[in-house]
Amino acid sequence: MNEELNKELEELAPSLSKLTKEHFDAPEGYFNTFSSRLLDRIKNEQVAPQTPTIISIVPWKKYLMAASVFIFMGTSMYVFKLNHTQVSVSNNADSQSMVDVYLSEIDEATLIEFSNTNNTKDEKSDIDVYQSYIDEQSIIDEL
Amino acid sequence: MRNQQSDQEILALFREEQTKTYAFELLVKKYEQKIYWLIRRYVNSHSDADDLMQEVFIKVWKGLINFREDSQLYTWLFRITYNECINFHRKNKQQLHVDIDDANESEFIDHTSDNPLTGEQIQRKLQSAIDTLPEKQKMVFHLKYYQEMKYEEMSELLGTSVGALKASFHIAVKKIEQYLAEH
Repeated sequence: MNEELNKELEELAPSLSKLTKEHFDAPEGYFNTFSSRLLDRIKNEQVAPQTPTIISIVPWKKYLMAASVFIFMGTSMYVFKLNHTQVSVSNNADSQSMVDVYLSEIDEATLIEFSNTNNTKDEKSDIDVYQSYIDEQSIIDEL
Repeated sequence: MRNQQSDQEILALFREEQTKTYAFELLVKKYEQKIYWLIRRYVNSHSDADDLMQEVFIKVWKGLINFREDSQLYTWLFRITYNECINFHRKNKQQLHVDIDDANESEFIDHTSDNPLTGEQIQRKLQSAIDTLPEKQKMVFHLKYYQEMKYEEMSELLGTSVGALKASFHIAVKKIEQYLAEH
């Protein structure tokens, strides 16, 4: 036993440090025959090494794969565009029908009031425009 | 002369179909004794050690072509051996418990008769103590106590830090000491 290990054991485990290690023997000639016995077993059982899987691409297959990808992408884009347009159209139609439904639910008085409010806003805006015109005219007169 | 081939040379020969078997034989010759003594301490019977040796080297034969040299060849061999030993121990745990019980009974008889234990009985007791350790502690104890391996080398083989290995060995030794005192 090396000194370092012996010291370590003496400190940690005095009983264990005093034990002599059991000595094992391999049967005589064991290592002379082991490799040949092992190779015989490998041969008899036909144990094959695991070969790494390699995927080879034949040149013409490359072009075929590229074409497939191109066709797939083209078809996908066409289908996507088609669906998108249909959705927009159907969305517009849906929106119009929704407006009609909502308007039918509102009573006439409310609608008139709403219309007047908007008109008032418009009038105000007209007044503003007119006011600005007067302002301009007064400036011109003063000049 | 044949054992002086480097790992790289052996691996290069193994990659060639014509020299594959020859290279494998070189590899077996180079490492069979190291692997055998590692297994022999662990399984404690030549017959089991021989079976395990064959299983280990068949796994090496199957997997060597995929060995990428990220680690030392012996580190890779050791890991295969270590896993095989643990699998073997798991499969035989039931049988092992029966053996330990038998051993304890015979030691008890010796104690009551006040006869000093024979060398063989002491070794059986030590073996019983080692068998109570968890797998990792057991392997660390084997590598340090029987193989007298340095912690640094062990660290590379087991992929564990030196500090953790030292702690593991100390705990294992303490447990064995306690077992020897109590039985």
